[in-house]
Amino acid sequence: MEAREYEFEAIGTHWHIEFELESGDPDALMRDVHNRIAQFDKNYSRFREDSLVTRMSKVAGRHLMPDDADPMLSLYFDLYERTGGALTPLIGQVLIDAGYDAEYSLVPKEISMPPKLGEVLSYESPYLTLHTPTMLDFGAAGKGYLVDIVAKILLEAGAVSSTVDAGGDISVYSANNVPVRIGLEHPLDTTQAIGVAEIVNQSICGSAGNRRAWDRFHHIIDPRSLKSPRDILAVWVVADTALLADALTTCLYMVPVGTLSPHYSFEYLLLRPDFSVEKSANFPAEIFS
Amino acid sequence: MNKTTISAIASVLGLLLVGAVVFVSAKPKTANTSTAVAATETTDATQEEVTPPTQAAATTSNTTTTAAANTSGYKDGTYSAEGMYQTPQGGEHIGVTLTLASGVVTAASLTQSPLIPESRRYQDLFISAYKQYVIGKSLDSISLSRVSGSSLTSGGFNEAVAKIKVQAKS
Repeated sequence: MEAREYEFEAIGTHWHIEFELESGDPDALMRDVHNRIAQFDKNYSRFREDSLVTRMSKVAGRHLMPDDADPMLSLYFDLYERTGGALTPLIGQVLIDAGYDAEYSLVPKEISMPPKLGEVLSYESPYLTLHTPTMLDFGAAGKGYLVDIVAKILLEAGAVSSTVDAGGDISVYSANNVPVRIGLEHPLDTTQAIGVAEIVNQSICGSAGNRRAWDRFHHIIDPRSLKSPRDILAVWVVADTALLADALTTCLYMVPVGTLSPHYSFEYLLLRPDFSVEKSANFPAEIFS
Repeated sequence: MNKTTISAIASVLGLLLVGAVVFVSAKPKTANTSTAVAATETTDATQEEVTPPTQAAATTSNTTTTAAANTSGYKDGTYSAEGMYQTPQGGEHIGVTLTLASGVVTAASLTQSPLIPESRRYQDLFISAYKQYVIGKSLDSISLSRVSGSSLTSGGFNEAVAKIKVQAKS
């Protein structure tokens, strides 16, 4: 049994991957993982000149989407409906105009509400047709989705356990049901945690406005108000996939839990600015109080 | 820094649950009470009387030592109780466990095993709305494998922020 740990930078964040492999070459496996991450980045990063997403922001018409696009696009379109447009892949232009562009200029220009989804695109897998060149942003769920993809590669290579952590979006697999203890980072003091979650065969994603913040914004801008929500300090979601957990952390900044809970299975914790928490009954964590 | 008190818990329960809340049983759960547990369990199982939270008569003292004298009138310990309430579908219950230290609730948890499926939704709403204030603990003091929070940012973002800070000062 080979147990290995790897740390590296990719898709603009810090990764930590560990796994136990019964047989096979762990370094060769990690080469596959790196290639897969690079492929994902080349498709979906709005920060690269050579990406599919950048090309789509310049060229209208019918685009053939990559093989892995459908689960992510389907979730986005579903959540777009459920959240009344709060979660939208059209947030890219809003972020760019606010300053969070490929050059990180961080100087806001004039921002305006994005159009309705149906006005700019139509989708019938595997083709996405843009009626006008459009910048699509998959930041709300892309990282979580990639965590799932990497975890699946490890599983299919025979890993009996794995922890895939991309900037705090974490997927845990354990054939023996051994949980991993994951600290919930204090958003105002990153040397502290406000609790510890125990995660096994599920994913946890966290979101807070402390790191990517500039001018009057942080990394989430509500397209309906064109403001970054200030009534939430941090959110964590636990779900069966990191794709869903990641997308829901963004949604919970903008819509109430009740909007989402009838349609998706998840546990959540919201940390308010007064340091009170609201959480689901079975959120798997010990909270410090 | 938990701001809740026993009366706050009781009043919140009362507000949310339709009908009377009757505490069916209250059993202390301190570690050393082997004698106490035996004593409680010999009571008639089908009709448990309401007993105030207290150490068993037999007497061994509490193993947890408290630095200051507890003058709150409530003994330190962990207590659990089942609250019964009426719904249109019939009787329902919800479990509450509280830990007291010097009369202050230092931990509280609610457990569900609803008799009626519809109750779960209402109990979920209650449990999720119950306000709890958190504090931070140093990462060094907790044993963890990973940390989840806001994404660590790319160097590009951090560099841009640093440049802006310089510009803002000049």
